[in-house]
Amino acid sequence: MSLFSIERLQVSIYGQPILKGVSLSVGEGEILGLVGESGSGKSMTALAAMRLLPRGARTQGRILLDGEDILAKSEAEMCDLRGRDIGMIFQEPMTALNPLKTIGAQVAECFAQHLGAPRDECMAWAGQVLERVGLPPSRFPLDRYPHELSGGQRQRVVIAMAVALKPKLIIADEPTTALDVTTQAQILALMRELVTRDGASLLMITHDLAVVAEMADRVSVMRDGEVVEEGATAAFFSGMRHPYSRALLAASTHVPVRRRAGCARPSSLPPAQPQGGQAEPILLAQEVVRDYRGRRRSLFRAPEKHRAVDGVSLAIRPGESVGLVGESGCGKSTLARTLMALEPPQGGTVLFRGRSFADFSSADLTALRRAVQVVFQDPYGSFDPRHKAGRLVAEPLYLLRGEIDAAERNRRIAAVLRDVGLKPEDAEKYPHEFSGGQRQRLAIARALITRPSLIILDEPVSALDVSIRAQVLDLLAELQAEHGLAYLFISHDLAVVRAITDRVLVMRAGRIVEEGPTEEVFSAPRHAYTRELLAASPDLSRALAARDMRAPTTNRAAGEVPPGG
Amino acid sequence: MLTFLARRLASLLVTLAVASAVIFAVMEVLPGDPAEIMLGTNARPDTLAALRANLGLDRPATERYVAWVSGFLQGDLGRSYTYSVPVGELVAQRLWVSLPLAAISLLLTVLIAIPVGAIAAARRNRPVDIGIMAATQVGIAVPNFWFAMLLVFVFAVSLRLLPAGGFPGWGAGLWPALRSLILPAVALALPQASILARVMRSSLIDTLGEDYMRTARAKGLSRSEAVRRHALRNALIPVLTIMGLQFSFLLAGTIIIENVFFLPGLGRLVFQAITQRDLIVVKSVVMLLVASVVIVNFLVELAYAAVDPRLRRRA
Repeated sequence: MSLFSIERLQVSIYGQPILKGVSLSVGEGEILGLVGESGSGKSMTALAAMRLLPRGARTQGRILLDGEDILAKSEAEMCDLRGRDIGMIFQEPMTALNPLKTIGAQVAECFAQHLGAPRDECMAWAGQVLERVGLPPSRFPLDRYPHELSGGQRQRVVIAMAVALKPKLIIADEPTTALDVTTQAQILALMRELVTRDGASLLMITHDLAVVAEMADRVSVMRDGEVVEEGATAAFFSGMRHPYSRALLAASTHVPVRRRAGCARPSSLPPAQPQGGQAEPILLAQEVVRDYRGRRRSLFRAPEKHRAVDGVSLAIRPGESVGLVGESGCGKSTLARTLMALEPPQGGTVLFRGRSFADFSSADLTALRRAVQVVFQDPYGSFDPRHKAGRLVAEPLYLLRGEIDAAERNRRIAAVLRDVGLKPEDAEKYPHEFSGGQRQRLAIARALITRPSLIILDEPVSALDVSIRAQVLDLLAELQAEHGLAYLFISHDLAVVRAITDRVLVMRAGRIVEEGPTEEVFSAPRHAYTRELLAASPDLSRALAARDMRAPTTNRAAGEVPPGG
Repeated sequence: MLTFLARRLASLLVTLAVASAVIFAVMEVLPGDPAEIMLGTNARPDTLAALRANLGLDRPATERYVAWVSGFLQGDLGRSYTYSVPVGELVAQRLWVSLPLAAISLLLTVLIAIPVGAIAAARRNRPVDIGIMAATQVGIAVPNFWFAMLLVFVFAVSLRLLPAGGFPGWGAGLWPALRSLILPAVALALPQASILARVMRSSLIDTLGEDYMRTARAKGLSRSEAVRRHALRNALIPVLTIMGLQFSFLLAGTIIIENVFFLPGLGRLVFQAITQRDLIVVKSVVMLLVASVVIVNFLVELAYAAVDPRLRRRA
């Protein structure tokens, strides 16, 4: 009998059905990967198991832990069970901790709550647990506050709270999605180690098939409130049955077909230097330095400086796709803002078609804004919710001051909307009426409308589900070929950068540590940091190859519950 | 923590120095010659000149500013033109009415606002919350002097529980003195409490939606334990900000309320001094009020640091 199972779980919130008969089970000491895209009901399943669903939720079905139905328990019984029998790890380590309490106090609270032990004893135990998750009190005193820790360290504190009482089941909801790849690798290793050592079961919710391939013993795929397929990991990946699972797999390993500009035939070979390496760069950065003012220590002393970008040089030529990879805080976005002339550099120069930003007239600046457009990560945050799509998309047209009349304006709006795969009629809709992927298409349309020669894409697909991500990448490849665009593609996601760029720069702590043609850098990295990044980033084929291909387990199409489950 | 304190203290002193200069400068530019007011418009020029020399008004402005500030620091606030007594004495008497009045109403504000706001947040969108929100709306909309008159009508005239006005002095005993401050303090506090309760409510509602509240519940805390241990302190941060700002409104409110209740406080003193052009009194009282507002905000900042560890970074 499995330790934990969910049987035909139905959840509706204010009458809106969210889960439509979910069944799954986790055996003792087993890691189950629950995969699905946003809105599939993965998180709701986890919250239902904790009985922490939002207000207005109604539940039907059974959730069994050790043979006891959680849904039949009283709230007081649930309070005893949460944290003691089921521990939970959340997605956002930055906000999952109370900012006003020390990490020691927050971990100790688990012990105080369930064991009622005196404060000192709870604190001592908290120290031990934090040591287990890699935060030894000798280096991370218990009186540290969350804001004094990095994202990865905070996630370790959250994990410490989840495993404090050695629960039988740990539920982790996208535990590494908000983290950098190297941190993600460490956290995944830590979770695997803890689960193995305590013999706990883990329900691991993620959208990332590569993470599942690395971690899970078994996989369940969710879509639209239902489990569509499940099976042992190796068998699942080798013999997917459900079309949705296959689509998910195809999307997460998707490489867009890229054509040369003006060339109809797709070329699979990575180009050495597109459009000839001698073309004059659109943007040329030389030894750019960016400093941030830090905190002022005294009223009379100059504030400290923090060097965010440290002597970076790069060139972007017409029609070329350049990748910029690095972990959060390495200075990628600061560099991008400098390249857009939004903030001046403290050292070095940036040249736009041979003219330095420093000598720019306002006409030069207008020319730059027309030629260099930008697409940001969060499509929703960058639109005014009270404006219609047509107006939002047409916004950059003010740069063309009077060059075009209203008819031409409307023609252009319709044209760019068609270009990005939307309909001209969509101009009359408001941003909230679009889905996440469509909103990102709108953002791309907005960047296209001035007919730029370069688009800076700052994490353009990071917030999107894999299937949407694949479509947007296809669109970007398509647009590049059609309009001869150059891209500066900024991302922490190596797979995405590998799929869409010709040349790549690897950035670390403000410096470019390695650069070269994308395939060369990825297949034969020279710098240790690049190797570290590559090793840390989850890779589906590598994970599957490394996996011990034991005797294939039966791979069932889902829908029914295992007998006696 | 020590550097934090030193830095805050330094900025407090700078603020006070700037404020004193501004107050002095404004008083200089205002029309109305104190000597002329004291002697009347028909005074002979030589008597006027003599009086001005006597008052020190013939010396240059910078010299008088320095004299005023250094006197202020030593507790010598100068002599009132109209009362002909040292301003220090005048202010000290009045302070013992206004300060307790402001303190009591601030205390009342907090005691009313925080529980009321917390209850409203916990019962969000239920009848209790809707009732509380309506009541606070009225509390904000109605001016405090009207409240004052209503309170006098109910508690003094009809029920005869409390005095309608006047102040017997602390010499008359603690209770009689406190009794006469109750109605004015309530009248001052109600509008402020209404504002603060709404701030508390929305702040707590925001806090309840935070991720760490879910973390707390996942640890096994019940809903009310989670609110008590994790939400309340977080919710208090915006409440503190508003409280600091409200203190200056309370002080300004005393001017009206002291007139309504015939209380011999600073508010009435400054009101009378303005009408009589007793500039030295106005200047000193305004400076005192500014100083108390600045000091209260300094205390609020210390309270911030006590509540929020992110503000007391290690230097």
